[in-house]
Amino acid sequence: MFRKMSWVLAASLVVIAVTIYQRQEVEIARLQRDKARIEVQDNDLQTAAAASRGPVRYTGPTAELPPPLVQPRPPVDRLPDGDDDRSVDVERSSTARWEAEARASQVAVEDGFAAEVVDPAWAPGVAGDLRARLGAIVVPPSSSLGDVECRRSICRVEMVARDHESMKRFMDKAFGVGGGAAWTGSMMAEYQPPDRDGATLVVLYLGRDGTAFPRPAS
Amino acid sequence: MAVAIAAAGGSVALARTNPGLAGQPYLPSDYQCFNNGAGAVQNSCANTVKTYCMALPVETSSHNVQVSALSPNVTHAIGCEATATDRNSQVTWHSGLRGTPAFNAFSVIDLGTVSVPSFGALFVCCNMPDTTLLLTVSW
Repeated sequence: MFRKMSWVLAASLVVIAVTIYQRQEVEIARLQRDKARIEVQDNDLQTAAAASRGPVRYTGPTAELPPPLVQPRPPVDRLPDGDDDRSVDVERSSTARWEAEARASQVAVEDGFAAEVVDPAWAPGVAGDLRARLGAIVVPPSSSLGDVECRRSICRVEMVARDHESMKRFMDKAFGVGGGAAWTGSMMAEYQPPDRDGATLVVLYLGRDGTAFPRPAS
Repeated sequence: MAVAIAAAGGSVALARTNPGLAGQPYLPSDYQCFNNGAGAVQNSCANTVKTYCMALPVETSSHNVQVSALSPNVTHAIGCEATATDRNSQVTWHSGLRGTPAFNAFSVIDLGTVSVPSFGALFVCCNMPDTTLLLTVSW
């Protein structure tokens, strides 16, 4: 009796184990099918995303579109031969124009002074006053005052600085920010290249109060 | 910054305008004295004269520098000057110190035409007694 019950129990266990195994097989197969379906959907999504990154095309009537405000510049690797050279030329040309304009302004003042006749009621007194004021600023021997000459509306002053520091100190005191001690009118300075000893000649043109420096003829 | 085009003598010059607040005190310790209002700056430190400067970027030589300002009265009168330097910071052109042509009203200080050497720099500085206003700088 006991042996018979044991056989029945063992057979039942075997049947249960087989059933569990079969259910697991079915579940594994279902999961594999799901995985395959998800992979297919993922591929479709990636293909669609790649397609959407392409250029957006306007499909309406192009004749009604206004022209772009700024013409797009071609990529650098598509510039035609010589274009880089042209941009360098434009840069050089604008620098040359700037230098020419600045030089023309200097020449206008130089020529204006040269063309002036002396105003005896103004020039001698102002020249003496300038010599005294600038003489109080220079510090011999590092800087010294040269000719001081006034005519009708412009004075011309020569100053020699032995080094850069003394020249800077002189210019700051005479014409520095906040109103220098030497002159309240306009001023133009021309710096000659340093000589063998490093001394620099500075030529100053000082405009009479209430007058403007001559401008280049247009 | 406003950009206008003016043609003079056959050449075309660009004129630019900066609001007052685009500048800075000549001495950094004076920042506390300047108040901003609608782009204008005012010296608010009583019984002082503070110097306020503004760099004016340039790409050409000739510039007519004009400062729009307000001086309340003759004892509180703003005075400005424009200075050009070469690329070594050596002063090459100076407008001279000029004040507002009127008091207690917005007015323009015309500093005349300043010539900047190539690759040089341009800046304007104003001596501002308390209560004076610097509104804009054009060049």
